[in-house]
Amino acid sequence: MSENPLAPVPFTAPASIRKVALGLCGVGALLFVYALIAEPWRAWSGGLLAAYYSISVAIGAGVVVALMHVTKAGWGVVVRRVPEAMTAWLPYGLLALLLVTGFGMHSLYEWSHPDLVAEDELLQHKSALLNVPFFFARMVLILGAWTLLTRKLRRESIAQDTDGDEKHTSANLRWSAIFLVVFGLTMTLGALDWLMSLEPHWFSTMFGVYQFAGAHVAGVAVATLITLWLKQNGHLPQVTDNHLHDLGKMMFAFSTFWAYIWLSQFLLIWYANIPEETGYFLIREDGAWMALFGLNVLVNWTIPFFVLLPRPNKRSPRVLAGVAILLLCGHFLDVYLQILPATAHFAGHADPHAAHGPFFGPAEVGAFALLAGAFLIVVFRALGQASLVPTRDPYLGESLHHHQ
Amino acid sequence: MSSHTSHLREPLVVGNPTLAQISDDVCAPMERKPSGLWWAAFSVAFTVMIIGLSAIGYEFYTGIGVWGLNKTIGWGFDITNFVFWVGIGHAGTLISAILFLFRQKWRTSINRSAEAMTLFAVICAAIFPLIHMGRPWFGMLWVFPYPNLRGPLWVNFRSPLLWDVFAISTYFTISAVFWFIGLIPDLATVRDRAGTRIRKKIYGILSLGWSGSNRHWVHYETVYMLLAGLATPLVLSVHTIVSMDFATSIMPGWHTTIFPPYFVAGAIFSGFAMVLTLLIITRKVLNIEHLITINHLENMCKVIVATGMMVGLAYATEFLIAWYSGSNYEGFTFINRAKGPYAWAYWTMVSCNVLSPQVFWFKKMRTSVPVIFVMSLVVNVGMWFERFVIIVTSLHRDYLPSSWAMYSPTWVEYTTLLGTFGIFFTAFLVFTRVLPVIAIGEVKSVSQFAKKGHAKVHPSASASGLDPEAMTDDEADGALEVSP
Amino acid sequence: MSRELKTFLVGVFEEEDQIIAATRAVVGAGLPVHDCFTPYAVHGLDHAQKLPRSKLTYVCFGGGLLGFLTAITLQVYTQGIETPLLSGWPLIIGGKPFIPLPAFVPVTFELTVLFGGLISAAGLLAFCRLYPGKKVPLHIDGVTNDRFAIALDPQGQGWNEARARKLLTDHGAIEVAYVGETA
Repeated sequence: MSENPLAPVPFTAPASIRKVALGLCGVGALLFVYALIAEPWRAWSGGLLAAYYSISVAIGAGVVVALMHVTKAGWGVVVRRVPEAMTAWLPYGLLALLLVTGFGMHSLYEWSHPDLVAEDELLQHKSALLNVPFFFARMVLILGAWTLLTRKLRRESIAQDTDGDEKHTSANLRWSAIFLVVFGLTMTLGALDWLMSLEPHWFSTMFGVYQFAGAHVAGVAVATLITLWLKQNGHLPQVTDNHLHDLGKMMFAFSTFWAYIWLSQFLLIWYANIPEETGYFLIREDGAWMALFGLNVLVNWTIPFFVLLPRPNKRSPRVLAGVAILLLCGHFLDVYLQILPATAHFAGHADPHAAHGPFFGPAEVGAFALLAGAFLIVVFRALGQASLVPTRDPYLGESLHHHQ
Repeated sequence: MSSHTSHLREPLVVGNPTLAQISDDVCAPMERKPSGLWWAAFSVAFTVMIIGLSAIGYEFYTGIGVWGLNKTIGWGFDITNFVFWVGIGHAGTLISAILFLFRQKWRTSINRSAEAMTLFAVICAAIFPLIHMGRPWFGMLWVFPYPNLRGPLWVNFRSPLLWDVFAISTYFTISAVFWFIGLIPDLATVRDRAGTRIRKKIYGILSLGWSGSNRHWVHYETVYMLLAGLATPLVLSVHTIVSMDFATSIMPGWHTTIFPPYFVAGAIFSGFAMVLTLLIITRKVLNIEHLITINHLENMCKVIVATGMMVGLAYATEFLIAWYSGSNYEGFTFINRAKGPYAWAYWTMVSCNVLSPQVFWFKKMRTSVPVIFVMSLVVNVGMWFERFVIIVTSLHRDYLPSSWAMYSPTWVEYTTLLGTFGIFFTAFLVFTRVLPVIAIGEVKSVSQFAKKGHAKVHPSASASGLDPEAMTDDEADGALEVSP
Repeated sequence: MSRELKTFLVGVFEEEDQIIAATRAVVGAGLPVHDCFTPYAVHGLDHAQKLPRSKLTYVCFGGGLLGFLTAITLQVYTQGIETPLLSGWPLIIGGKPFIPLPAFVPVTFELTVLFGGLISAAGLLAFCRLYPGKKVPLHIDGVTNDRFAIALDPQGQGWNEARARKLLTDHGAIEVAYVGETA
């Protein structure tokens, strides 16, 4: 079946999406500037949250694409352009993260203060890794590698639309394998740099896996929302209930995987109760944070699990959209709980009255809205750059006639 | 497979055999007299099993002091072997359940024997904690929570060792049920072609009166899917809980949060290697190379290289964080692993598990049966050493240098380990004689034969109901599409 | 077991596409279908035969729930409850609370899976009335090997033998004959 079973499916982002996105950017920018003046450490924490969040969504999508290629998943061909387009955000994510950590470095990272390092033996020990130039070099290297590799996957896929050559399929299989290896190594390092080093005394070998699990769920959830939007607005009629069912299963499975990793990390630290590890959870189980700590599991796993368990729910666009939004809120909370208690604690170092969380206000919303708007603009522009369906993918026939 | 299936998919069954030929090919080994080769293999395995059981008997009679354990090293071969065998078992469940959920149709040729392997491996594994009790005839009942007259004193649900009891027994039970449910239709096939009365009787009882009714198939497929859905988190939980035997402690080298997924990846890694070892021999000896094709072997090699990378990533992460933590004890444990008296074991582990599987990046290596066979053995050696390294090197130099010790396993321990291989292979060899080693029905469902219009359809058929125009789109697809 | 033995008109096919098409046609024509018999699960045949989805998913959910509750009750009772009437044996271990929920997760999970799995499997046997030593009621040669059969019920509503025979033959039946139940 090398003939073309489908004409290209063109797409241009409607003006309404642009308006919403620009509105988000505008409001977000205002709030962010306000927060920057009012409480800088919160603005930078919010900025780190937003930047890391957007990167995790984009790289989660990249992993979905790569997994589809290496497992030769036939079903997903008609939805693959959506996660492919989402990876286009990565260079912008790098820029956002560079700006936030560049300007907010001293509000966020204890180890960036030479005076604090000077009086802390552990931080001196770690300074071979945790020092400012090396931190940024790693950031550029990691996100640069992700950008280049995901762009390669997307280019090969789009090139196939014109020439229909199957060499792109085998090239993508190969590059996906390489990407996954690179990703595994760099995700561990990135998670350590950007989030774990917020509390530089704390350590957990599971941390990289934990970040990966969260990123994957978020990537699938955003891909599902965009796919649903495209389908409901008539841009992607090729997507049937059967494809939605599979997206639902992926959210179900990866949300459960997240819960598994979350529990494993928590259980082991809780059980052994070693001071240098338990401190991390002690802050988060303290006072008002405790409620959020419990809510995190409820929103990221318990509710999605039981909602997605019955078959009809996985095939209902409305339920799927609801669960995807819930999971994205959950991911926000998850990242929030990793950043805010840490930075609040650190800010309390300078101002003892500042560290009574949880915090929620313009600082946490501003940067997030700004980057969400930018993300929408970038991803919808990327979606318009190629046919919405890879029309000459050799597995397209399987996907078009996919049944459960 | 349907007309929509991509031409890039290679046929899962080579040579396009008829459905009857598939039944014949799979059932043939059960219906002919065992070959000389089989008898030879069986006698060796059986002898080894008897030797191993004798060693266990000697240990029961004399006491656990006949092992090389000492005050510093309280876990040695026993728990190493336990974790090793449980890990081997995981590939069977992965193939039967996880690959099923992922719609990897190539699993159909290998799931039956892989699941059998799971059961035998779990039996081998369970031996070790049992004999480690010293007097299991007292201990083995105390681990279950039943109303009792000891106060009542109950088991401690906060102990990871008790979690193990629940995990392993649930795992064995569910794997056995899953396996048996999968066997029912095939047992009916064997029953209906049985030559002798006694065979007909035995397989008749075992097949529970299965008739191939489509009303039953609907329930059957649902339960198969449900069991796959349950077995998938189950298999993860089992090695997770095994890893927690170590990781809930505060021992440097044991207490590390990455242990659960790292153990699961390692288990799948070693299990696939064992499946390869067994199947490379089985497909050759039983003449089923067209059913378990080189593609199957290649796919398994890909899983091996993928899980090998995960294991390698875990090793690297542990080292990085041991340094990053700044904890002297963590740091010492890892330096001691790489440079201490057990460095040879550590480097054996790294070269077998991380370095050598890299050959599978090359298609030439993935499709060469001798290379795969050697690699499957190498990986198993490596994974055995991984558990040895984790257990023994973490224990042998503890916080108090005056109690540092070395571990020298005695002949009893070596013989017991050898004996479990005897049990494993004896069971597997018997299995190849009495049950279909390949899921006949499932292989038929992915074979091309019954779907390609080999028989003639009467030209008037379309006029009498199968009129694509008259059907809704979904119905038309349903009529033509038969992708499992 | 004094069930009356019935006789069915059985059409035998060699290919799964044929049996799907034939079943669709026969059901479409309103002929009473007793059942289809196939050597493996033929996808799409349940639609053709208009069979409802299996209810065993609910059985499984119920089983899992039962296992979950059993595990929680067992652990909380034995580790955390001490009353004169019903008494476990609360002990402080590792400085953990009497009812340490994280530590109960593993066993709770295992028992949920155990009960869910066993009860689903038992449900399968019950729904299909399978048991050791059961005889196959309607024996059709080859349906566990390489034949696909459809059995029509001559006593059912809308029976029309001539039409049934024609539909079966037209869809490629290699054999159409009456077969009686033997058990």
